Amino acid sequence: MLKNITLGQYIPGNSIIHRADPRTKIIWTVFLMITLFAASNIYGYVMMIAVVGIILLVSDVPISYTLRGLKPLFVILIITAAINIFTYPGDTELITFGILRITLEGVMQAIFIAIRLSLMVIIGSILTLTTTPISLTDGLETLMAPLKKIKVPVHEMAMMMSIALRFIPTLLEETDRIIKAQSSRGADFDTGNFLEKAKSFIPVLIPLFVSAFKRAEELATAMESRCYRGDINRTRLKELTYTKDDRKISIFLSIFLVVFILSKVYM
Amino acid sequence: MMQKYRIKNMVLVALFTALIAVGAFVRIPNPFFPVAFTLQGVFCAFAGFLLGSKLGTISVSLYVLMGLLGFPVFTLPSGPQYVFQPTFGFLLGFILATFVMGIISELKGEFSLKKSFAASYAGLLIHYIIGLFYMYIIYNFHNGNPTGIWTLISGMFIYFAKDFILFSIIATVAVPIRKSIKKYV
Repeated sequence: MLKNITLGQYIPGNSIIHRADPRTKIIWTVFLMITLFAASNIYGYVMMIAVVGIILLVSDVPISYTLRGLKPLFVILIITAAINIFTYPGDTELITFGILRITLEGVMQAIFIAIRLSLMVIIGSILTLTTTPISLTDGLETLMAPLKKIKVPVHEMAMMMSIALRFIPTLLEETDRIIKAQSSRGADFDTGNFLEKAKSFIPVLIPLFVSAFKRAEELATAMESRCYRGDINRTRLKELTYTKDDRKISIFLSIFLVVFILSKVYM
Repeated sequence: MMQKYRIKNMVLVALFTALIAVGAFVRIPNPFFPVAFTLQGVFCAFAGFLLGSKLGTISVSLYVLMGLLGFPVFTLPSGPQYVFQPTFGFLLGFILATFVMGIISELKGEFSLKKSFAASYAGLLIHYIIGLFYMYIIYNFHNGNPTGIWTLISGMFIYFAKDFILFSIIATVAVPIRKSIKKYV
């Protein structure tokens, strides 16, 4: 039941993308997604594919991992592409079959949408594949720090995300253990009428919630005894610093951005 | 004392966010429906029932936010592109549904079976209304293939039937669970 979960997608490595500061990666991920939306013609898409390809190559992430992320999207991709092929209004007819009209513009549009969707997922997954969840939350916290001025609890949100990420595997295991424990005591999850089935949920959910509340109590006590009081005067074990790698990545992607904008203006 | 109360709430919210993420991965196959039950809705509902409207809503919102930021907590690949997913509205629906379920469970008087059923069905309806509305918008204005609202409703009917059963189960078990958890809150 709890097998095959690709949680915590991070793949350890020592490529330039792995070493880069999470802030650099987050900012450029956002920029690349915006440029992806600005791409409207064949040159734009070719450039996007090229740049994402280069990033994938230098990141040392096995291509199979990236493709695995696309698998759940496959059905959606096919359906959207098919609908676009048949319904997009265009002039250059390729095939006419009764009321079905396939035009060159429709085919191009279908290909563009498929490329855009896949590239979006790939760009997003490069970030999570090369950054540990903890440095990702750290990066987000420092990037969002200006929002503290308008009373957004940035630190608290980052802290809650870190705690949630830390406890997802623990709680998964616990759910599994409780289900097994209750089955071994004779709990029956498969048979019976509606009410009996409903009741079989109770022996799983109660221990799960009780342990969640107990854990919260213990963790809060532990945090308080270590004088946790938000981000006031807090220091870090790993300070975020910009290095040569960040400069290289930023220069490379800035050049790409300039070329992209120029091509959009002149082509 | 005040400080500790705050920290505890923070941790509780985070743990429920983790539970919702866990719920998305636990699939319970069943013989009656082609679609498997997931526990996601169960944990969202209990976030409202056990944490109350305010903390429960924060917990579900944090879950959605984490998925949008790219943490792998959704069933499909997470990331900002998820907003163009036709089913994203159902996640937004969970936020408001949890809020309403929390509000109803906080009403004066004992948390009775009647109240529990009212809260669950109200939550379910809100979940589906927002979900379908969002789906309609995505299909018609983003993907560019006009789809009538009735087509979507008939397409989602099997899911609604499944969730109707799931939320009926939630309503039935919520009363005893809330009673036995109350002493830990």
